[in-house]
Amino acid sequence: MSDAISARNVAYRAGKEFAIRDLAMTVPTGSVYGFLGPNGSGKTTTLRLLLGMLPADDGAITVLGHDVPVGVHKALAKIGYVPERLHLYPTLTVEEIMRYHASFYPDWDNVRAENLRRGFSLRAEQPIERLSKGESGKLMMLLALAHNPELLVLDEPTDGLDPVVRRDVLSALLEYVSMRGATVLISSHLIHEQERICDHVGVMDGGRLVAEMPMTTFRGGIKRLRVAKGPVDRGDFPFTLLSRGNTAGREEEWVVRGWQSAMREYFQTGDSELREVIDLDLEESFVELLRSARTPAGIAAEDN
Amino acid sequence: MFRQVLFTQWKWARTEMFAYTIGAFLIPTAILKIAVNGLDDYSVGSMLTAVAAAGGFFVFLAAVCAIGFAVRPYLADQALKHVYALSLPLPWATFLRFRFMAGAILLIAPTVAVYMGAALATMTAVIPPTLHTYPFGIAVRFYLTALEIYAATFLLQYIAGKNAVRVVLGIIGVLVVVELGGRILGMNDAWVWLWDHMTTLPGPLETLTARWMMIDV
Repeated sequence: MSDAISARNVAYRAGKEFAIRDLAMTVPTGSVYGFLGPNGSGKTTTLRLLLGMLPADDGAITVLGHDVPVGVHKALAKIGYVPERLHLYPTLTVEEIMRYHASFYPDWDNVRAENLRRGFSLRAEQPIERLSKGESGKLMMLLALAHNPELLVLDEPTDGLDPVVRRDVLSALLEYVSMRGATVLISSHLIHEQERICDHVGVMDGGRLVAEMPMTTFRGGIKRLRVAKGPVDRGDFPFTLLSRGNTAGREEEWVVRGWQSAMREYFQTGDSELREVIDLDLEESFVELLRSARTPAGIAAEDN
Repeated sequence: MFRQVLFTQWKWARTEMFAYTIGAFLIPTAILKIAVNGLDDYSVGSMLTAVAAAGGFFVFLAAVCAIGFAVRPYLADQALKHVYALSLPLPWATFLRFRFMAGAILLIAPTVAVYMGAALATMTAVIPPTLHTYPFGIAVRFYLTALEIYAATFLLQYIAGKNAVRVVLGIIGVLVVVELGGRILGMNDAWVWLWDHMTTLPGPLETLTARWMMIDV
């Protein structure tokens, strides 16, 4: 099956300070792809590049089989997009924006839209400028879901929402995804939320995609090791060493990626001893990955 | 699709549109009142001079309507950094065409008001028998003038980045060509020549400087 999104060697420069560099990203069809990264890492810019809202300086982007930006409007007809901030005309009412939005999408489903509106308790005659943050989030999700999209691109869709609204929005999303089998690309700071719903993950930092892998690999592949008399790094580790530091005594703490239990044998040579292998949760893994990516050695390791 | 774009632009501009339409309806009557009241007698020449002098009100109103209708939707998109407009599944050029056409349609309301106001004013005023009235002509001129200003404003707003640079370079290029051409041909008044050609038919600015005559021979 082809990929829903494919980006190769994409570059984009915004002023002197910020640039997206060598972006290579693959979102498999049918996956729920979590897009992680700290503030200012380039997640929103990347999503806008993928949707043709910003012109890439270099590289090739394909979304749902259409080249971006040439055929992006054909792809956009099959994409539900929820941007980072409310992007709807404030003086229109909920009903008016639904009518306006529907007119651009041939597959708009009025029944689903109306059901979602009722389910989200949105009043049709309510002006958008008077919606609360939670209601705005629900309305944007409604507009993204009501035209049967094959791909959902969600930029921090639950950011700033209270837990009840967040649950409503995510429930609507998951219900749609399970029914339609749609692909989802979701950017969020809420790592535990991503951990629950995503099966693939990409990590952005400083304008670079520093890691991209299935969630199971990401979750299980990064470990903290307690090692006594750690061996010298001769460049032949069977895993990727993300960081290495001393703790009390002669014990060292290593953070490694790509760990498998068979690798214990590596420490059985010489004087070194592997004392403990500790599972990291997604947030710790994310932090360790970013920490390693921000050191020159770490970036080099990721590149390899 | 287009109907919805038109609806939103109407909703954004409806208050101003109401004011423009009332103004457009009242201006012809006001002009004729000024033209007639200011005269000691009903001499044809004096009346025509007075009507022509007051014609600038039409240009002013056309410019206000045009800029108003062009700026409103742009500000709405700009406030959202064009994110919503760019996320819609249609080519950007098509979206801009819809935006442009919707504004061009909204300009019809004040134009009809100009026609009705001019027709009513010329029907009720005492006009020397040698003169004729041109309410339809003045309305057509009003629409074309407004459309021209609207198009220029629209273009200036939506051109950005490389396109803006191209437009500015194009204008500078024309000015340089006029200056150099004038020197080569020994014309001391090349700028005057350019202005004359811009403001006389078929120059694009002719409509702004021409005589706006509701009443003429």
